[in-house]
Amino acid sequence: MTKLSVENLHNSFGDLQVLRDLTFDVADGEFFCVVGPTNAGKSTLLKTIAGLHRPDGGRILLSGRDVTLLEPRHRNVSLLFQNIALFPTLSGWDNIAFPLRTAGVAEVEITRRVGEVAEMLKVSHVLDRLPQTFSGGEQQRVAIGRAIARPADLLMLDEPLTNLDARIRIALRIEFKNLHRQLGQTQIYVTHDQVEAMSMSDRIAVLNKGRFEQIGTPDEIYHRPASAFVARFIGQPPMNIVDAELNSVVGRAVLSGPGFSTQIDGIDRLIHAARLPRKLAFGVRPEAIRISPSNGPDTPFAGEVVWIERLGSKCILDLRFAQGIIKAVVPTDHVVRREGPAWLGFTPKAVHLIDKESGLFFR
Amino acid sequence: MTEDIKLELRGVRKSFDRVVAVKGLDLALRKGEFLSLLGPSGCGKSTTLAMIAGFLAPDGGDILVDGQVVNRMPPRKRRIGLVFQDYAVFSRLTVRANLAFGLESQGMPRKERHRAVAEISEKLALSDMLDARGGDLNMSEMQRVALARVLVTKPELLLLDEPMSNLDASLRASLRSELKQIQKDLEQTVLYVTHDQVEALSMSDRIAVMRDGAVLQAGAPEEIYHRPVDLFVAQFIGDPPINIVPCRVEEVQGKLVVDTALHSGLGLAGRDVPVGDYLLAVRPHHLSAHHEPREGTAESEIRLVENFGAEHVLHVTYGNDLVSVVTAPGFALEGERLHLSLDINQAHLIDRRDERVLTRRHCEAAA
Amino acid sequence: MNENPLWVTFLKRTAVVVAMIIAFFPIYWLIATSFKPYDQWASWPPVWLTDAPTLQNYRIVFFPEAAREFATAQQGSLDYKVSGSAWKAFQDSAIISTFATLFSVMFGTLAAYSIVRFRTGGENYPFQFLTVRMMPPIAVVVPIVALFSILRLSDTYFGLILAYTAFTLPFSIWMIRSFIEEVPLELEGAAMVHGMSQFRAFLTVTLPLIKGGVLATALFIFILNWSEFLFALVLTAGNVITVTLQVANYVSASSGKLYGVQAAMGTISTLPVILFGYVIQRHLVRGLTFGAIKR
Repeated sequence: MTKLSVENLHNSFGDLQVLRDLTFDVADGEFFCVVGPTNAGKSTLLKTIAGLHRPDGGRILLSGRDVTLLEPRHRNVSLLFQNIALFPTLSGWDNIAFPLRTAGVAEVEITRRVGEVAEMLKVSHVLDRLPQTFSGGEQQRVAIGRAIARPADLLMLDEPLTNLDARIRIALRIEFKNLHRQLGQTQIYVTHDQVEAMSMSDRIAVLNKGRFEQIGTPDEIYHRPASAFVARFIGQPPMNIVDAELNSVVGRAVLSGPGFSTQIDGIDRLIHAARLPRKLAFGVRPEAIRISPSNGPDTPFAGEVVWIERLGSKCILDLRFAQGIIKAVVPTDHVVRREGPAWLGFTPKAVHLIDKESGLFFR
Repeated sequence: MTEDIKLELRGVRKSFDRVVAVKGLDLALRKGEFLSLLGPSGCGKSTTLAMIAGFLAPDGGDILVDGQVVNRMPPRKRRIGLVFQDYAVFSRLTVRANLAFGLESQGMPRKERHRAVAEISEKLALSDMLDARGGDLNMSEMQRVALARVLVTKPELLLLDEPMSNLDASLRASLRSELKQIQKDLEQTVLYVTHDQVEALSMSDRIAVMRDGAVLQAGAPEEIYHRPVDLFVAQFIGDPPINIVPCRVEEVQGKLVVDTALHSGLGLAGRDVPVGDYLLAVRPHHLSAHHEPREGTAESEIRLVENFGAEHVLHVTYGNDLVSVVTAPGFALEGERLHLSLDINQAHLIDRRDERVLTRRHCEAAA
Repeated sequence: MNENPLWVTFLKRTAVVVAMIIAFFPIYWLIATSFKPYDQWASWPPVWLTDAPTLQNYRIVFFPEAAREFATAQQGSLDYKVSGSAWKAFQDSAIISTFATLFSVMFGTLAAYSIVRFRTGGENYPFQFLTVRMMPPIAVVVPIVALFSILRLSDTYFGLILAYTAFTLPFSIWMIRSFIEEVPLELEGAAMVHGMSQFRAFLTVTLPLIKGGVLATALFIFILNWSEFLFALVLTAGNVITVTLQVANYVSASSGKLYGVQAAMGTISTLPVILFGYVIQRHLVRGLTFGAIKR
């Protein structure tokens, strides 16, 4: 059952086109992430769905109702802002109770509900104080409390963890996911951190400059990215993209470039139809690259390790290869652990091909 | 080798009203070293940086640059370069004007300025964009301009205050490589303040972990990671964070064994601790998940699966707690059961009262 | 870290003292003169602190009959322009200034909100407002007088209130605009998403937060209104009289300007403004703002 349906939404501020022709659905109870770089239009998208901005065109349907032109208070959505926006003159309790009071819920019920929410979010101890006395994490959780106090058709969260310390972020990420499971509410979660998007969502939409580059499950986005942008945005470290040439050698397709050449399958159809792009590149994820101190059947290409990032549980190697630098991920106890020459290789299956002109993957 | 020490802090203290921000800090930074001050918000790292730069005067203790006490020296005389959050590149000036800025204020004659600017832009690959406007640059270029602007004045010490914390996560990996390369090429002494342990681990020669105004532990990244001195450091470093579960050390037939909620009889070879209750700290990578029971495994239920693309982190039950274990993608789904084993040789014992790690283990860390 | 040599500090401190003397001298002179007897009002060398303080001037202000005594004492003729007690002037000024301030701030707030949230009138609109005030008021005296005459607003309370509101509106808008801009859109947004209409969100969320700023603006506008002279002069003809006009009317053919009486009037008329400021001062504190807004 579809909870939210957005059709051809577009919005501009002055000359700036912030949202271009966006179309997507969110199913009931789904955790839907919109991820993208700063200024991609993520906040604007949420605010438009909430009714704080009027779109220039398109439709927004919530539970089947057309809400495109409705005021925010008639849409039954809940929005957690990027800068939290707790009411500074109200106590923690009053902040969480706010939506309930405005809706005219009975005071007895309000007391029960606020207590329940505060318990769930472990903020009961700050309820009688003012927001300016809260820590960052407490402010966050009280704001979440306010957002979930009254059940809404759609819960939207705008970069809720962005300004927090790395350690608190990791802890809250898990809490969010748990919370979603408990509430079963349809959620749209916006972030620029792809790790958050990957680890928490049922489906991800990658937004870039007001347009969706791809919408899919985390696995789809990760293993079958649609464009170079998605491939480099999702995954840490990002996918390596290397310029290459495609030739036909003895009836087989061979991908080659400075210092490497490898057979490629799965594109025979394209070769026969003579529809190979002229300028292309290939992409391979850092964890799919095999490294060895010596030449071998799995590691036929020569390279040089120029820097090692030791991150405790794994190491990221910067390798000079094919006239550029690519990154590979190896476990900490891997045999190659110093800078210097090394040999690398990758399976054809792990290789993605990109048409450089369109920026889209075709294999 | 005291001539080698670029920066030294001896017993530096600072309080604001009744709040003690920095308590008796001791620190030494060698020439060419990349040292990170790592800690949560409010630990005093930014205050320390401000004192080193000269914006705040310490209440006690000494700050020495190249062996000279600089406590009372105004910032502009300290030969220290500072890069702020967001880099603060002058958006209306050209790159060239940005780079020349500091030199102009120092009163360097024109010819020399040009030469210095040309030299630094060569080193930081900015020669092609000297005439570009500051506001038109992408993030990587902005970082290089901000660095070049400071490096062109040839500072004795470069201070960076959480320069990447407001940037998109996807950019940070490449910016880290670039910053580190520049630092290595120029052999620049750097003090880097951050709350992100990945940045600290990735770029530093040494890390000083701070909390509540004091340095808890200072050492090489591997040292901090594999041999944390206390609970806080163990939990602060490492992603996913280290697992902490209660345990008990018993003596069985003359040998010491560890019992936890799920595992028992784990042999504590080579360590001598009194019998009692402790906390056991074990990194997610030192737990193994199996589909079938084996020797040494115990059953556990998967509560949450975090998909990180290249690997999955499973949050599974461990008695009354949850622990995280790393598996290959697609290993299992939420709600399923798996069998967990634990490498006791990679785990730390932590005293429950003072939260210090009891025994220093020798692990096969990547050297 | 004070690295300035002693003489620099001494110079700085002396400069401050000199500035303070210059600023407060007129006030001191005003109060001192108001208690001086006639012969010391404009004597030379100046009398700094009178040795024969009198309440004569204050009596004349409130009880013009006292002027008769005074005139007799001076052997001058009684050709006072002022026939009424200054009470009326205080009343009229109070009414006019208060209502004009109220209207100016009210409309100013609504207009400022519209400009900030809805970008009414475009980017240059606020500045256009301000340029209206950059023109010297005397340039528009004649057309305004003519207009008021046609509209039969001359010498009425409502007329003057209207004029003052119009002239202070640009200041209201300009000042209150900056306070509204400091309230993040997201606060109103949060209220709207959680059930309020935009107007209600404005009343319950934004207004309390800009309370201090609005009151500060009100004080400023009140001072402008209270001390306005030119339009009070040309737009009234006796039915309405303001404090400023009253002061100007203390002249007599024989005795010239009655400085002492003017000083007394001046001293009294500062009181309402001080009172206003005192009453609202605790609201000027910005303590309760923005505790939970992230950068």
